[in-house]
Amino acid sequence: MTMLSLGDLAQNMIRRQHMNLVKYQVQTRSQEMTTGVVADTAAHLRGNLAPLDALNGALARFDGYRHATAQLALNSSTMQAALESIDGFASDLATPLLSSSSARDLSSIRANGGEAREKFKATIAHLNTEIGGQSLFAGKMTDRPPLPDAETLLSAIEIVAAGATSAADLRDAVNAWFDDPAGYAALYQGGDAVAPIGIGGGVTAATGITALSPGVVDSLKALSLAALTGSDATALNDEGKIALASLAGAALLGSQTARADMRAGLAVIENRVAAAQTRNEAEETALEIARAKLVEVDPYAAATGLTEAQTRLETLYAVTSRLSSLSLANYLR
Amino acid sequence: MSLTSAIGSALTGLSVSSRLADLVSTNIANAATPGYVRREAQVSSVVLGGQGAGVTIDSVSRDVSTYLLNERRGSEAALADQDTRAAFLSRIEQGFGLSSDSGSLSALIADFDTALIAAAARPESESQLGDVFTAASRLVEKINQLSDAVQDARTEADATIASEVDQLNSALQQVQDLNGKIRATQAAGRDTTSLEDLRQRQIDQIASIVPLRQIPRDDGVVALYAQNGAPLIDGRASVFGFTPTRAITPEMTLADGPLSGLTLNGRAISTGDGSLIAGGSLAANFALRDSLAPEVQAGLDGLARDLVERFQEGGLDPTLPMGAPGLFTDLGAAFTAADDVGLAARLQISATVDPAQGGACWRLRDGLGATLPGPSGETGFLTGLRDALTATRSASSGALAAGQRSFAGFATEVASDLSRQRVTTEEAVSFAQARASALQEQELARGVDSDQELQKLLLIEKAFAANARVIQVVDNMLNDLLEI
Repeated sequence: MTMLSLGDLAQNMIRRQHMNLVKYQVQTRSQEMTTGVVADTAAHLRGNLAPLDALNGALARFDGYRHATAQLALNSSTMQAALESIDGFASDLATPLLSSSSARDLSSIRANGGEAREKFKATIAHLNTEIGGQSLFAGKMTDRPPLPDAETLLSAIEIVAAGATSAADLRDAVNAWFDDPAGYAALYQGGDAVAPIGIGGGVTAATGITALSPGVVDSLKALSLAALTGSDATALNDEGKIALASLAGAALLGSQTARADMRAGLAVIENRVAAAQTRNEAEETALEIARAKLVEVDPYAAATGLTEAQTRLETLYAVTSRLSSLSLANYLR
Repeated sequence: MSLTSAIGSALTGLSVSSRLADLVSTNIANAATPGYVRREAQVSSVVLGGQGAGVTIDSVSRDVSTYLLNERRGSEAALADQDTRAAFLSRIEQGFGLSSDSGSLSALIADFDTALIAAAARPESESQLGDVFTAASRLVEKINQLSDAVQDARTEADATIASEVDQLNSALQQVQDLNGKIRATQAAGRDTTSLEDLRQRQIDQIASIVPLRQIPRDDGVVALYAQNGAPLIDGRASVFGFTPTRAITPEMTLADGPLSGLTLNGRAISTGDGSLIAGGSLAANFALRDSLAPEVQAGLDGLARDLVERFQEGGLDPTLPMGAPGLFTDLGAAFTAADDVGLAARLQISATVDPAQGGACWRLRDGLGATLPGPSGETGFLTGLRDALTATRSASSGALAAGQRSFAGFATEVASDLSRQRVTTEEAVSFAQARASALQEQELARGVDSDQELQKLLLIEKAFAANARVIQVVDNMLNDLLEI
């Protein structure tokens, strides 16, 4: 019999399938609307995950760079502040020493020498600065202060200076001690300067300054000469002390260039770190936008899609309820 | 022609009507029974000595279309085939994860990279070095887990094959028995439709395992062949043989043993593409076990090998002697090229940096062979590790993409390849699904339509009433005669 008929189960199946389809659409669209990204990322990108992975990898790396730049910025600005104080000590001492020397005012020289001794101690304290457990002027040996305490250093210098009978001899002896690998360098407990670290894509930076850097050593030489003017441990007579005050003042002024160079170098690093920070942030934003473009859904399209699916589901409910009551059995009485 | 023959004809009409009503009620009762095929009665007039003598039911037949049946079963097999593959791919793809989800392979590689950058900024910090160790060990764990997931899928496929082979054998045996019963019942002239329903249900159960072709033979018997030609039942039922393997490791293959192949009536048959049984879930599970999953495993092994080799290269770590294992090891030992297979499962992080195994995290800063902690501000080795991870190099494993890439680049390629396959297979699934449901719909459309049955019932009711009326009238006529 080739009579047209439609089995009850077929009708049921068709409606069930439509309902599943529409419900699935409702679910996908509502998920896309709430999350703002496509429900099946891999299918959306046609299985090519390389751009997305590259973006996510780069974005994750910025966390590391943020850490590195913050650390380096903190270190370099702390070092800059320490060097600025040391510079201040040197210039504060130079003028009084020179003027008291030219005035041949021994008591003033002695007072200035005492002051210089305190400044020397303060300088050593600055060089031994640690921040968050990281010793800044010790190079790779970040877990210890680079120099012994100021008294130890001063007594070592006083021993070296004890034999000198003229101010020039004393200066040469002190300078030689600072330059001697078995002298000052032997008391230095730090290591080589820290190697540059990555702070951005292809950008590296390091402060590169330790307590052995020429600018630091020159300042220490001058400060220790100034400190010795007030010391009784030297064999200098009054004339010698007046001459030493003059030499120390000159050395303090002379070391200013080395310090300025060092601080300028550090400022360049600070600048590079700040620039890297800015660039990283800009790049991060750009990459985030690029990532969003890869996987985001048009909220308008998602919303209209949802509304459409909702309407179709409602229609399907209405049709189902109407059709299920539509049976010949209901009319046979 | 006589009055008694009129009563006889009317009586046949009554009995045919009640038999038809019985069929209608059976149809309506089974309107929602899956696998039930609508019954139709063939009615013809009875002729006795050249004279009409009423009506009779010749036979009751099942309104079945062999074409639709075969097509529908074929579509179900194709669906099961693609579905098995898609389920595996999507499961492993989820294991890899998307780079935007934390815990995905790409995210873990990025975490390792980030931890190395951050640690280089504060090499003296134990917690930063600990972060590097944690990130590296999570990466290793992830690769181990992915390898395990692939092998679990293979083991499950093997077990599924075993159970499908059992199902196939027992169903074929049942079909053989039912064939015999149907032949006997038909010879006795009795109704075979219920037995045929039963047989159809049995065959439907295995239709998704192997794509079937049903061929009608004489006496109501059917023969079954796989679409690629394997004889399943023709007279006698075939017997498939398979030995399951309890736990599968990457080194186990069909070619090199000890994995079992498939036998048909005692003879080994191939199970790959284009084999006798190709096209259903059985062949799909074989494909999964023997080619799909091993391909994914090869990708993972290639990634593991790349990772190991990057950190094992001479010159990276001056504290290690030549040929010593690097940060990532093959079960604690150095990797040699011959041990490629299954490396992803054996990948470990060097014990020298693992505090749980007596190592120390500071070796990530000072070198794996260092006996004492070095300068706390040393960044050279950490920078070297990061360079090793991000440097572009060609992979030595043939399973990875050609060309120079970073480790993350290779991992992305492997994940992308998997996603691409998954997306394509899912498209094939939705096509197979659409085809299967269209055919199922057509088959169901031929099923019981209760409105139509009720309409028939109206006709039957009318015929019954008419026949009863005939008997009454003839009776009156006879009475009239008797009153003369």
